Amino acid sequence: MSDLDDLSEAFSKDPIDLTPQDIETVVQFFRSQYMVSSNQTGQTVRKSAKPKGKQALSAQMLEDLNNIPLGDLIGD
Amino acid sequence: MPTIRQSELADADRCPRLYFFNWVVPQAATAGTYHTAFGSLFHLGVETYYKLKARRGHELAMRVAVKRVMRASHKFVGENSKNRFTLVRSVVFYCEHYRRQQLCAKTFQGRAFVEYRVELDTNIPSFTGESWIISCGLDRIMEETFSDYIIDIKTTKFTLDDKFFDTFKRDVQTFTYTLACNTLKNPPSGIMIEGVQLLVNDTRFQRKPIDIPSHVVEDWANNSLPQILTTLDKSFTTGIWPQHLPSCNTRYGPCRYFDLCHMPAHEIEDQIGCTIREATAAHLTATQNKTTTIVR
Repeated sequence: MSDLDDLSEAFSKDPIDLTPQDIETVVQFFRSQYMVSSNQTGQTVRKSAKPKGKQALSAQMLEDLNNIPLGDLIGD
Repeated sequence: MPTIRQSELADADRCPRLYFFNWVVPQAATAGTYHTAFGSLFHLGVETYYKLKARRGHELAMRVAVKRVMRASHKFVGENSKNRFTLVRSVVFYCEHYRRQQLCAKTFQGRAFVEYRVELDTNIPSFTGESWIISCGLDRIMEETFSDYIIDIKTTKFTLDDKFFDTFKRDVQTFTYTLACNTLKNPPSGIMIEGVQLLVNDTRFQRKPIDIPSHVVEDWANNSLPQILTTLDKSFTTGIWPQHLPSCNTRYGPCRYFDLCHMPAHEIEDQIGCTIREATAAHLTATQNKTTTIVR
């Protein structure tokens, strides 16, 4: 499947079925778009901010993404 | 003490009848525009990002913001430049764009000053005899090396040029924020507008401090604000909500209540499901019963 297919799948899912991998697909896709866009408009892009393509999330980040209850942020 | 939100005040200033439809009869307000919905959802993403960024860093904060916005926007449709896709894209672009910014969300004991509420005592008497309180929800307070700024996000389809930023130099929200700044222990040095321009294939960002001479704010606080609140007070007690005709057509098109507003009174009452006086009386009681603590 292409990046676009993965993205389309993530957007068509019921929100409660979204997995960390779906979120990662969305983030990486738009991050790449941002890099292209910021280069075109002459905005500064640092080398370290270049898209790294699809890569596995670290175990810690996967755990964090699953464990932060969204409702808890509201009254923060 | 009777309390109104800053956004209520802005509507009351624009048109008493608009205030009535938006705040007195919420059943009429359910038809909010997608512009408002888009703005609220984008704010949700940015708010989530800054709350978490302070404690957990950029990468995780961005992903949680995306997750939260994707969940909240599941049924959001919108149009060409403001839809669910451009919304999520804009949240990612925003986080990437400002990830290394010099301005950081001000924090206290590890918590960011995001969606920070300030209550402003106007000392203008209301229908209860107590003074009106204006409640201001600040998007966030950011700190620079030498000064703090109140940041307010504005999403738009228009170009982020001087003309865009100049509209906020004479704006009820900017004025109330300026007054609210002065009530804080360490007053921020000003207000900065964070413009977000939505295009079909791109989202652009531009920040600019809004410089308002102090005499302009004082003039508004001393002369215009009492007038707005007195008019509102009168509508609360009489149940009469006059139209302000110049507000019927805005730069974005006709007011969203245009059709409803120009119906005969009995048809308006059919639409809202009660009489205008009944709705006003219920709202009056609710406003009267709001308890507010002044925070400084």
